[in-house]
Amino acid sequence: MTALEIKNLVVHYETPEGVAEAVNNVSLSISSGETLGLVGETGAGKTTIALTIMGLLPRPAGRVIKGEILVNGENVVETSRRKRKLHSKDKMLRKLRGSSMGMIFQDPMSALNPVMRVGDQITEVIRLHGNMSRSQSVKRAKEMMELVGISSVRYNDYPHEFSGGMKQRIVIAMALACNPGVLIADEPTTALDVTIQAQVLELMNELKRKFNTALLMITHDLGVVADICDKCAVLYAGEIMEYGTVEHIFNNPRHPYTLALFNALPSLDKDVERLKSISGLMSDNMNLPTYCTFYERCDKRCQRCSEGDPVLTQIEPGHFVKCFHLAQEQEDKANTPASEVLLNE
Amino acid sequence: MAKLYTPAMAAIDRKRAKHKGPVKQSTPAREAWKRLKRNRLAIVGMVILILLILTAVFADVLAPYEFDEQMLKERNQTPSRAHLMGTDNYGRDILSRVIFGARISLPIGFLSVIIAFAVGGTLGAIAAFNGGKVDNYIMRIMDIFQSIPPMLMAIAIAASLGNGAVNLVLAISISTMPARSRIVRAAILTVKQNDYIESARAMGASSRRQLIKYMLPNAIGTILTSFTFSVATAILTVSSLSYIGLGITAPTPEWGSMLSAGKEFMRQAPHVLIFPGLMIMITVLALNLFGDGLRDALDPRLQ
Amino acid sequence: MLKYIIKRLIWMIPVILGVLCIVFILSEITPGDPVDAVVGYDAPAEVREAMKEEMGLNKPVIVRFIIYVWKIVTRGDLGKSYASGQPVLKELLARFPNTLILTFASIIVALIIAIPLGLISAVKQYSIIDNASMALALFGVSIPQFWFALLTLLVFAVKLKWLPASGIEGFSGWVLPVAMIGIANVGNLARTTRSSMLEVVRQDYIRTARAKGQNEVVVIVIHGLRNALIPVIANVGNTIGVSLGGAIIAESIFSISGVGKYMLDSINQRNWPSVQGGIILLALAFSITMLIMDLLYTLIDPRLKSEFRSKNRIKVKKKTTREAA
Repeated sequence: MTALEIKNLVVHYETPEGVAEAVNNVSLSISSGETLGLVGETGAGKTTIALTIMGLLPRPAGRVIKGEILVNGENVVETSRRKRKLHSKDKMLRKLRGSSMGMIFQDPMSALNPVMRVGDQITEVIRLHGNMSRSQSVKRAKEMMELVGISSVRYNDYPHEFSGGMKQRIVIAMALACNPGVLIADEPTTALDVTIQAQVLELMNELKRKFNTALLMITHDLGVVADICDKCAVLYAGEIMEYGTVEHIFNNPRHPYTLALFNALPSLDKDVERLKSISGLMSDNMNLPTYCTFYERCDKRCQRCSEGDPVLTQIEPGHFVKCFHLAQEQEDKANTPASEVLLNE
Repeated sequence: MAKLYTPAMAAIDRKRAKHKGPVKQSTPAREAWKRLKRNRLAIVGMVILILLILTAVFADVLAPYEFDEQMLKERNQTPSRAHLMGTDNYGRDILSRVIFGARISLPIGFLSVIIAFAVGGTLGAIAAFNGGKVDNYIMRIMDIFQSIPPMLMAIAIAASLGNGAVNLVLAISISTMPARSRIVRAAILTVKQNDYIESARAMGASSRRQLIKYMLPNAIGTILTSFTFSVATAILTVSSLSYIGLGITAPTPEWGSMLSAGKEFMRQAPHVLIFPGLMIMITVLALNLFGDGLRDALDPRLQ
Repeated sequence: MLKYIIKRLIWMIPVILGVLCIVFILSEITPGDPVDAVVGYDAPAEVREAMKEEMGLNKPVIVRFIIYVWKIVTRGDLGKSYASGQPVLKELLARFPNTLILTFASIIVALIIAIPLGLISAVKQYSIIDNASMALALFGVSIPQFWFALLTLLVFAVKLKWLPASGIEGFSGWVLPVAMIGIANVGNLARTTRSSMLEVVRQDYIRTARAKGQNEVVVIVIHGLRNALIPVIANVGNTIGVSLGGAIIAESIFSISGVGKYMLDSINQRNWPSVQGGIILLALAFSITMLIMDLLYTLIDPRLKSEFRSKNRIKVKKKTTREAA
């Protein structure tokens, strides 16, 4: 069952300095119990996608220009400027947030309200959506705390009395308290110590299986993807560059950007003297080129790449790449634009 | 705009900063000036301030009458063509007195703040730079001074020393000194935490050199902003003290003491109460507008 | 927590000593002979000498200071008013309630208006309400309070004759001074609330609260306001200080028989014991206010409470290691 579906999403930030094209025609879908890794460097648009799903784009700068996001089959985005002003979807979004979709934030240090007891913060979300009495909610919150590995004795403690890893566990408990169908994790381990990272990931993976949640894992760490994801999308300058199962991406990476990402990773089996960095900077999304956005940094670029923008093309079942070089190979095989194949899947 | 600063936007900023860097030479001061120029209210404040300073300098030329010229036949007159702001109970031209009043309030205001910052700021800088015991001792003494509200302290000092401009300057600078030392201390402490101070130290910069070369220029923004606001407060204090008869007394045309004299004739000649008060307000408003603009220009994150 | 309160109370001892020292120095540098103030310029030399002896003016400065402090600390003896011959403390305490009422009633009025105003301004940044309240705030800090008071007096008491012009006669006499001082402080407090709230609404935990599906009003008031209140409290403390310091001016304009008016009258009569007593009383009131504000912080922000606890803990640790060594 498809829990979350994003169709042709385009998101802009309208700032006084100009319009930043943060997300450009992104389509994704995640089924229940499945984990999709969204990989990309800082500024690629990962967090923007997460915030758009939650309806938490900064106002009034952030704006969905085009596209649909279906959570439980309901479209949660409003593209019309007038209706957005009337906050037409706000009420629906408020009901979905916390109950149908939960979010785990990057920095657990600041994600919890410092002047509120942690238990009460978990209880709050249960009270909002759980249809339970106060005492039942507290009981459920304590259960959630135990579930994420924190003794419920600490219900009355304040956030500053917990370590970073424990705070992230609290945030996870909060996000999962109402058993949402979709869980969005925005770099949940980046701010944690390496030793804690594995524990938190393991916990998330376990709970995902237990609740059969669809997990959107946003990260810039390919290790995290390999660990717990089923599918993976590589994002660059607001566009999906390569999309496929983890096996596709790790065993058969095809896009020059994905390849470059792997080359930048230290490896235990290969004896490499120097890691290869990706030269140059990501294109300014205030001023995106009309041709391939990776052109400037690509080591396979050619004349054609500077003349047009390639489309995401299927190169093997379930494996999509946005590159002219690979598309050309596939041209004879299939001529279908990727987004359609994706959605018909 | 209530906008979240997302990583994407941070990346944009960083990139733009990098792009601009080598192309155009732009110092932080020039950047701040550019931002200040865009702030219309701040510019209004600055223009008013310049006009007021010019008024003080050219008071002799501008004023239609002498400030103490008594026209006994024309007492408590409402504004007319001959006396644009009317006359007071001695038949003195209020416009002229208001113009000469700028010569009292502005210098006293600026001077007392300069002294307060020179003394308090030095103490605050010493405290912040040395930290530890020195910091503790200096700040505890400042705590004691601050346990008397500044206005009360100023009144007490002014009452003990007696009237006069010099005593007024002393009263205001002593009473505000602890607060100013705190501002400088806080500004330097904030800068001290930054990594570039650490790196300067790592490269073996001497303490004096650290303070002068790295900390002061970076703390100067905060200090300058607070200086502007302090002058505004000082001018308010000057007029308040003169109003209750501690400071500048008649016949010197201080705005506060003019109001004090006018109070007696509030029923017959309410116009006497309007203009000197308006002058104080405009002066303080101009300083506050300029200070606000300065703060926003020097620290764009606050916007 | 109790430890912290005791620590703060102990710290007040040097503060009060310091205040007494400052007040004593001020009286020393005052030009003019205090004997003149009591017996007059033209009193015969032997009367003057006798008075000087009685007032202890022949003793060295240090001795006089110690006697001065000793009298105040042991007996609360602030000396006798030159003007009335009554003990200063008695005269001050009779007037103190009025000063307290004026100060605290006006700050409450100010807070009732300022906090909602600051909140709305922060949430609807750059809206009409925001711009209007910020303009009001700017004027509030720019208008000399005594002038504003004079104008309100002129309009409401002299022109419209709605309220009594001077003196506190029942409730209606308080309305004008309390409203005036209250409104004069609204701007400043609203500004603090706004900027603190603007800082808070950018925080991640506000986003977390929204991600829970919490309604926006609850997010702002429950999650936001409590966090935003800390700088506001600091400002309330300062504002009370300003009000206590400005009591002299406010009370003299509205002819309220409080400590401030008493001090101003005493200044004009060169009645120094009364002036000094007033300064000491107001400084003490201010110090206690600041103590209460500090305790309020810890009630609002649990992080501070544990900071005190952990500080003590560290101290204990140090001691034990020293003992072990």
